[in-house]
Amino acid sequence: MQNSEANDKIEELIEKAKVGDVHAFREIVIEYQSYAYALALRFLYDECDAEDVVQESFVRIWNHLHDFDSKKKFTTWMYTIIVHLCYDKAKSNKRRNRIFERFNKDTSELHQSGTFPIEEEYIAKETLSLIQYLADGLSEKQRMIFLLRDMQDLSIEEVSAMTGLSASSIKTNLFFARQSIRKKLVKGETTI
Amino acid sequence: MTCKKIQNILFSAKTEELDPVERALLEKHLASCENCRAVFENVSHADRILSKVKAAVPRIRNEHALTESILASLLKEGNTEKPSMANIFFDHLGDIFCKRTVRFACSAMILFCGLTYVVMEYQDMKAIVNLEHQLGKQVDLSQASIILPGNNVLRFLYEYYKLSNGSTSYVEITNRLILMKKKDLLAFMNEYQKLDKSTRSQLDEIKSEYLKENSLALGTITQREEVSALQKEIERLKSELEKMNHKEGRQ
Repeated sequence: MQNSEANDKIEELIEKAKVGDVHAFREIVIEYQSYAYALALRFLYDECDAEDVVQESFVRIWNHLHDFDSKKKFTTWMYTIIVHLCYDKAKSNKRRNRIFERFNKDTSELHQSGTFPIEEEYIAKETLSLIQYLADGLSEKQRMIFLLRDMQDLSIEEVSAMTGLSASSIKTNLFFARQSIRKKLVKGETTI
Repeated sequence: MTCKKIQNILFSAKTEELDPVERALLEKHLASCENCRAVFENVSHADRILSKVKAAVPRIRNEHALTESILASLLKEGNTEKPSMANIFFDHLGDIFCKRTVRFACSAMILFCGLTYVVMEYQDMKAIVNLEHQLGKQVDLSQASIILPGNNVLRFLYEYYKLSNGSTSYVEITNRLILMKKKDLLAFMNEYQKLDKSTRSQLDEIKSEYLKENSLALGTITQREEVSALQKEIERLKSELEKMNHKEGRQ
């Protein structure tokens, strides 16, 4: 995704999608939906919610594709939309108090709905639980900044563009998020 | 650097993000401090766990199904057509108003208009108050009972009556004056001030004549106190007229 060939390809697909080419848009969805899903799931901790956010994000991307400036990075724009939708989803979840209920669901129920082998799903579930445990106590903003910077490997400038926060604010939030997470890991001697 | 500062850095930053000076200081301190070195080892272990968490990228349960679901929702919402120019225009318009600077500019403009209106109103009020002060009588347009007995206000009424060529009844003029806008009243008062003495005395005569004829009618539409105030005013004007006539007779 980083090389220039891939960039040229995505630019071409975007230009085609801008004039209403659904097939080109399908290619874009296939290329990027896993990145979108990874961020959404790590933030929301719920597969259904993450899928909802991914779906809504791509619908928005399609509807506003004419607004996209081809000189800018597509992933930055895509993540900006996902970040905002994740915040909205978390807000509505908070209202309904669904997060707690969903995490109390039996793991066997999740296994039935998925297509992964048992071991892989167990690891995925455990990793997600670990992220939730580590991020517990952080604000949504700190959590999102940590995910974007340290889990998705995005630069401070990109995180700033996605969240609308200043670089100094991002650094401060990242400082507290990392400190809290690392202290938990050191204190708890967690293993994976 | 103290151990506390070093440990703060170890927990909150990544060594590759530190500038060369900070990194050199950190390395120097770690070489000499066993306690901080232990913390460094623990943080490194924590980072190795985080690297594993990062590497375990969550996978979509059914990628193909999600792709199809996204495309189906595009078709469902009728979004597969090329967006019209009108839609693009309104989207851009919405985006423009969502921008903080534009919102700020609009708010500032509304505030400016509001303040200008208040200042203009204040200036009008001030001008009226000044005129009222010059004429020695306060005017409250919302209170007919105050307007009617006022000497100067009565003069305005008669001037108004004169301007309307006597075709409008006193009651109508009163009501019209009550409803008069401040600006009109201001212009009217200015006009009255410009009148010479003889015209003013002529107006007084018209007033006294008019009051004689209409005092009963006035009594039916005004409060008792107002009528008595008017009657007193008429009596005063009468006596003044008599004195003037007397003087003229002597001359």
